[in-house]
Amino acid sequence: MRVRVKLFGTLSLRFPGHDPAGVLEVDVPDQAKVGDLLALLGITQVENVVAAVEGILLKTEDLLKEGTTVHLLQAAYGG
Amino acid sequence: MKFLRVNMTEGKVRVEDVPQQYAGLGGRGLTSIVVNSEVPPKCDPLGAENKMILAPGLLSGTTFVNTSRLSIGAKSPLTGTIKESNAGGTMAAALGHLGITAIIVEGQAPKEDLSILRIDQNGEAALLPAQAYKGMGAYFLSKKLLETYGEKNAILCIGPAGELQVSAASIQATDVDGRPCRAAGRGGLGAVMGAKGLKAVVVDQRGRSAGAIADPDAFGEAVKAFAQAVKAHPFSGQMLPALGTAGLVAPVNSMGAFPSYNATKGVLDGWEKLSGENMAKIITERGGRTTHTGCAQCIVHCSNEYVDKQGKYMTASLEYETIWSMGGMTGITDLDVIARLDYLCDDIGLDTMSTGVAVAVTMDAGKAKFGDGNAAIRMVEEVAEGTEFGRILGNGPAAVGNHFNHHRVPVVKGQSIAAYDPRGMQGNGVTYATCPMGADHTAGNVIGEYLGGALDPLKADGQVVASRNTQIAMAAVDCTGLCLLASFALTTPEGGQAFLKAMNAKFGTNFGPDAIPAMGIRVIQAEREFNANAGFTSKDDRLPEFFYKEPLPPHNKVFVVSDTDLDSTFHFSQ
Repeated sequence: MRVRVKLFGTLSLRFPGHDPAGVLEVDVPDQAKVGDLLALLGITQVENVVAAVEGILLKTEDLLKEGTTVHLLQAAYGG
Repeated sequence: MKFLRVNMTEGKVRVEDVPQQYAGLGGRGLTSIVVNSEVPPKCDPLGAENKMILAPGLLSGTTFVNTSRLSIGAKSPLTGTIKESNAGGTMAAALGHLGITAIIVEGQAPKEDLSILRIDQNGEAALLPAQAYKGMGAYFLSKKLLETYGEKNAILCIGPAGELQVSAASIQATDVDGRPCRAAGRGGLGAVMGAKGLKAVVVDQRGRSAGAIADPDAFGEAVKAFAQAVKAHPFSGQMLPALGTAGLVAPVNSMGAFPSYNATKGVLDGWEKLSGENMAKIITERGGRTTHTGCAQCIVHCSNEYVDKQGKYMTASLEYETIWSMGGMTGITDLDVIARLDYLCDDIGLDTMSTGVAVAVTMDAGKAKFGDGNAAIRMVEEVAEGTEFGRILGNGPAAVGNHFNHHRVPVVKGQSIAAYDPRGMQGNGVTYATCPMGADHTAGNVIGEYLGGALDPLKADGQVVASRNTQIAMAAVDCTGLCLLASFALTTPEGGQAFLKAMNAKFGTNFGPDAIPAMGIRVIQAEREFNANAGFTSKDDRLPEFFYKEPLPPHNKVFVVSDTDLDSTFHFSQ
């Protein structure tokens, strides 16, 4: 299945040529979890990247849905 | 180390050794404990009995990185509570270099008198006439003062709002470039300064009388280790230098917790236009600076210089909270308009947060349309003009709500919330409700718990503990002069150890890790004691009713932490 990924913070710098305002279309296996998507994009657990869909923060074990738009965010602590 | 007591009634400055009862205190710890000891809790905040205390942090003026926060304390005219608001820039380091532990401004000048407090590089202090600067905006005032006293001076000042003594008046502080774009914004302390008859404080940065360091070698090692921890932390080492605090626009909207259209929605339509990512793109295209040193000894560089289409300076630094208050709350999605509003607030001497929320309440009351940038600019300009509406707006969102008899006013103890909706981040709601200084995000921001996956932002479980622990930690950090944005390195083993080592090396102590939270608890207890004596009770530690009754899209949640749980926030032994 395919999901749409929006990258925030400095994450887009990891994908040369990617427009930071654009969307990555990523093919993931059916029943893929958030952790699978992060691994596919080369993002490790220690990088403190969190996923959000429609205003809900997801855990790495949460299942992804076909066509969903996932926001990938760097952990932030306040400002 | 010394205190300067500035008596505005007599026009005299007196130097004294730091009294024993205040030994070992700095920053917020010093301002709050002095206010609690010396200010009558039920006094008029704008009267002679109130005192305004300026205190650099315990490490300000040393080589320890990012310790340029200056705490300013008094009884607040906005909240009626004790208040500490801190600002970056160059003043804390300047005072530290002169061995000045605190400036205590007392009494009240005769009506219409206006003075400048000038401290030269030898630490000699004097009150000088300032009638020539009456009514002047902070930018032109700072330029004139630096022309008069030299570029190597740090300035604190008020603008027209402070002179008018409106309750959202800020105290502006100059950055390393001499621009008054840093602010002790919250709590209306600019009105206290105006009521004292003090237009500005001008301090030479070249002092050489800093307090001794007990173990310079160990201190130097700790400075290096902490700097490495700050640089290694993903937030302070990568995200903040790239996007500034505006990098929070995306996470908070993605969480549905960005109070928008006067806190009726948790996601702003078109928020991507206001994101840190888009702001950096605009600044880069126009030839501005996406990263910039705003404060003395800063290695984070979260500041920026926002420029117009011709590349001309518009404001510095455009920050997350201002983008939210002037953008999210008002529905304005044009960064140029928000930059203009930020500049106006800095120049007039207004808290951007309270002012933006006051504009939003005005719009919500039907007096202007959400998204109308010209209307927002006109409203803010009216504060400087001293019109009737300008004075109402300048007194903050509660004053606007009262004037228009409008119910949806997002304030606690009279002070507006910040850029995290309590229905989408329940722990921040606990902080807003219980903080001794009114709704104040810097006193205990729990967002890191949510984005780190440690806590569900939408449920009541764990929110009180998270808020309590963060409030204690921040009260301690605020004693040291350390910037919040570098303080996250304290959560790493390397950063935490280096910080403790630096404190012990500076003061010749042998404190363990428990000494830091103990310091925070002592400060909060003093603040709560003052408030209790001023007449505040647990019934004041509540959010406005609409947060309990009006669900916030997209989650459609209300604030669910019970009153009983709120009242346990400062049960420190739990």
